[in-house]
Amino acid sequence: MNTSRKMGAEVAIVGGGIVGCAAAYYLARRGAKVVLLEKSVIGGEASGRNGGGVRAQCRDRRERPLAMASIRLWVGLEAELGFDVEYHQGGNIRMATNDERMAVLRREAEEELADGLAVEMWDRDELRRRAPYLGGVFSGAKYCPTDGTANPILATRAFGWAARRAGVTLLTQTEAVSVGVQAGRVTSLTGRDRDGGVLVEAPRLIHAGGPWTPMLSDTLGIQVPIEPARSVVAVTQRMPPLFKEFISSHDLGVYGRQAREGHVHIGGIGTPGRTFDQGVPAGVIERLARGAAEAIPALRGASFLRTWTGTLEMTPDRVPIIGPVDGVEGYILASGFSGHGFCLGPIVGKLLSELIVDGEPSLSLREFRLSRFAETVGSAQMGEEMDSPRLRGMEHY
Amino acid sequence: MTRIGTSPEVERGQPITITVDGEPLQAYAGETIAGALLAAGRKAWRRTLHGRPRGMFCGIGVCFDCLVTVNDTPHVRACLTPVAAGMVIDTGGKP
Amino acid sequence: MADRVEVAVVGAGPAGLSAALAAARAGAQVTLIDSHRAPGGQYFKQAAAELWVGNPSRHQREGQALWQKVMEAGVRFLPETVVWGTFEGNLLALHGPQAPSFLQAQAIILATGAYDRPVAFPGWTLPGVMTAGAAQVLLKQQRILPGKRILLAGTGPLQVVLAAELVRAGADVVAVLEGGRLFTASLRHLGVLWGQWRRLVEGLSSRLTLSRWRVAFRPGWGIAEAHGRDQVEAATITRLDQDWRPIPGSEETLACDTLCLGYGFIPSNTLARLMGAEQDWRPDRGGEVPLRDGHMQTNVPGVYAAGDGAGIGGGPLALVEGEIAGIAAAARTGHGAGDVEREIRRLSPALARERRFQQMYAALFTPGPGLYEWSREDTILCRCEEVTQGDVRRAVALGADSINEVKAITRCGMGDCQGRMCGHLVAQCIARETGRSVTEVGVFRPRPPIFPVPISALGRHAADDTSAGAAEAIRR
Repeated sequence: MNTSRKMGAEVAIVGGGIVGCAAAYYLARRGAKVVLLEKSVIGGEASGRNGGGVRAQCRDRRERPLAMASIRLWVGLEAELGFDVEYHQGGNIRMATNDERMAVLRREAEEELADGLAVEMWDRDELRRRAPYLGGVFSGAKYCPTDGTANPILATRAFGWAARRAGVTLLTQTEAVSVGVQAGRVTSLTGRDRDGGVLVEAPRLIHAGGPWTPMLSDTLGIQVPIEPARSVVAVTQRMPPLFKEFISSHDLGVYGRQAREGHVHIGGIGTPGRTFDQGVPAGVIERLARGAAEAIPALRGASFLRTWTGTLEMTPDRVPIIGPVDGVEGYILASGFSGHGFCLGPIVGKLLSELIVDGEPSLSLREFRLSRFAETVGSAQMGEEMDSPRLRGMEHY
Repeated sequence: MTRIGTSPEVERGQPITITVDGEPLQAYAGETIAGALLAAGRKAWRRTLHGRPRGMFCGIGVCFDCLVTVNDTPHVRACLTPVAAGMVIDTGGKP
Repeated sequence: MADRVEVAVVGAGPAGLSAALAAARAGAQVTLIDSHRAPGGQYFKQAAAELWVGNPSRHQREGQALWQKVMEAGVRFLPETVVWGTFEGNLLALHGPQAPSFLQAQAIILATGAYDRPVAFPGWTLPGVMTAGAAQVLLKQQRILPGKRILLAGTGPLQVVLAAELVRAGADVVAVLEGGRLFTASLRHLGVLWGQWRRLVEGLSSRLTLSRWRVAFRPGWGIAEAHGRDQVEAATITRLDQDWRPIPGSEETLACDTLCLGYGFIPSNTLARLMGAEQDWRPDRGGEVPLRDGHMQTNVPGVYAAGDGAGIGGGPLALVEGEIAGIAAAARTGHGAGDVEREIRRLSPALARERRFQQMYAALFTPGPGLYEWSREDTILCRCEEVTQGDVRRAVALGADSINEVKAITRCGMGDCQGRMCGHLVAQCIARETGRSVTEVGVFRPRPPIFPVPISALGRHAADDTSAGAAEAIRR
């Protein structure tokens, strides 16, 4: 391909979602020269389409310290980026409809409290008192007061705009097609846009490519166990103020939040279709409607105005893959956020900037290494792991 | 009074009383809520999120400007909805 | 489990009625769907059933007669029913009091009609500013005047006809403003009017009425601003150049309590786009229109489009296109005596005549590009979300160069009308700011539901599990 444009950088980044843009921003603030390639628009995929929950509770233990640190960044994000991303620390309620679920939540609470995350268990009466808008089907809940919500579309773009102001070269509508490697280290990234090719010469590459990550990592001979999954969100017409928390129920299979101007967003929890297809299935719209009406009775008089889908990036253990990769020096993965990467975007971006500029991140990324999959299972068993019954009940959104 | 015509030209449907913001309003069967409001000389009956007055714009149910709450159901398009005896309409500001 | 039918017709205006009749007469099983209470669309708008009107218009009588035939042909009619989505295999999702939640049709005829073109200028969102179509609905359906002192602004003979009706009904019509300067252009097209006697007579009769009542007809004039606090009280009008740009210094202010905008129509093509029908940008036909073959079939097999919803062309053209689509759809489902091609060829002269008229109409009455320069920085472009022209320009300055990116940042197009009112306005603004073409700027991405649908209705079907078969059907 004719790479008519050439540029040099200290760090090349693939992916203009919240992770890529946050990494670009924090790196540029530390003085690094960064070029970011995004195949469509900044925030055009999952980072801009998710349910908007910014949460530390209900996570795998490995993610918890990152999520807690990220929330401290979210609190100061409007000032940091100079843009209102509609972040609201309104709390997070995870409801239960039966004793089994309550028991699961209690065990989770013990672990979270031990890790320093303040959560509370609410029985039926307390739930009724604290969240009277929730339906009578719930018998209790776990509540985290420091969790909250934000506007995914604006937050991702705000990171992009701030990165650009800080000197990052953002190349949108530019697809990354190959990575140059010499003597076991990254030397360049090649991208393709409407006008032809662009060559970015850089010794480091952060690969935050979401579900499209394996397409590029395959060209490097690196097996990254990420599979796509479709997730659907529906939004109502504007409603009077009903609630400020992020709410979710694994039993009803829905989560929700009320956005700033009153529209209620309802998303699905469950086993999403394993596909890149972004069509909206009729059955899912109906299930969201049913879950919404049961969770929040006031929505029975409301209408869905709009739906959309996004593509998640699922790993075998539903925990992201972050960090350097053996055998290709300078190649850093930051993908596989399995439906719960929105909150983590800022902290992962910051930690990657620390990894590159300081040589070490302020929070360990060891638990997120790619090599953990080879350590626990042989590669032949990778496919089976994705379907394991043990995983089906786990959080992924 | 903007209802057209004396009896040789048109005979209205039977008279109907609806309640708008707590006050009775005379209307006729066959009219829409928007028609009844306009016939009574009322052009503005909704406030947007930012407090701007709105009434009927497109008249065929695609612009969603003419919204009223009817018998506690919000987001009802006044231009499409026929009046019915005893209907309680609330136009009050934000939904 | 979805209901099944051979031919589904979406929209019961002239195109839909004509299509349903043709398909039913050919022997096909037909379901006709319309979102309104009564059939007829806008062109055949009937007086409400509860009214008795002593002198129904010619159109109303024609529509009534056609409806009678449609009923006698055994067509199933679903009123107050919205098609909110379509899923794989041309499965239609419905919401209405008598409608099944899903309808599987072998052939679908889209006759979705059109809506009045929104035109933005300072004050256009004031109550009392409405479309000419809104005034028509009040007049025809309910015999109610939209106001007392009425100013009409638009283009084309339709508003002259409307003005005459308003005058005859006792309104004080302040003036009729025509955006174009017609005289030389119209001379070139006189030949087309041969064979359009009814239209000529109607137009002339309306002009005579206006003259008699001394209603000023002012070609080459448009709206600069509508004034008022809670409703329109006056309008400042402005002379326009040949591109419809306001000429500074030419303003006059007229007192009025109603301003009717008649600047043409935009095809309702959301459903066609959702079904994957390829579109073409045709400003002379109102905007985006689906590509069709001689059978009115789109590039999606089994999906036909007819009438104004497939490109503005008026009632008589819609009747012909509907008939062709009905014959073709019936043939697709194995019905119809005789040679389909010959049946359709029989309609060719009428089709050609009406298309010629439509082309003349478009040549004379397509608004000039200056129409989109009547708005200022603080003029609202997106009525639902109250997004101004300045907001759109600021989004472009941040790097947004497509309509969907501007939507993401400003919320324009996210309101209840789902971008129907602001689509063209925002696209033209972005095109001006970026230098890109309107087609490059794009259209709002359509997704189900294409009209708001009550959660209670959607959730009920999930509970019944009646949609099990349709549950995994997908539409992009």
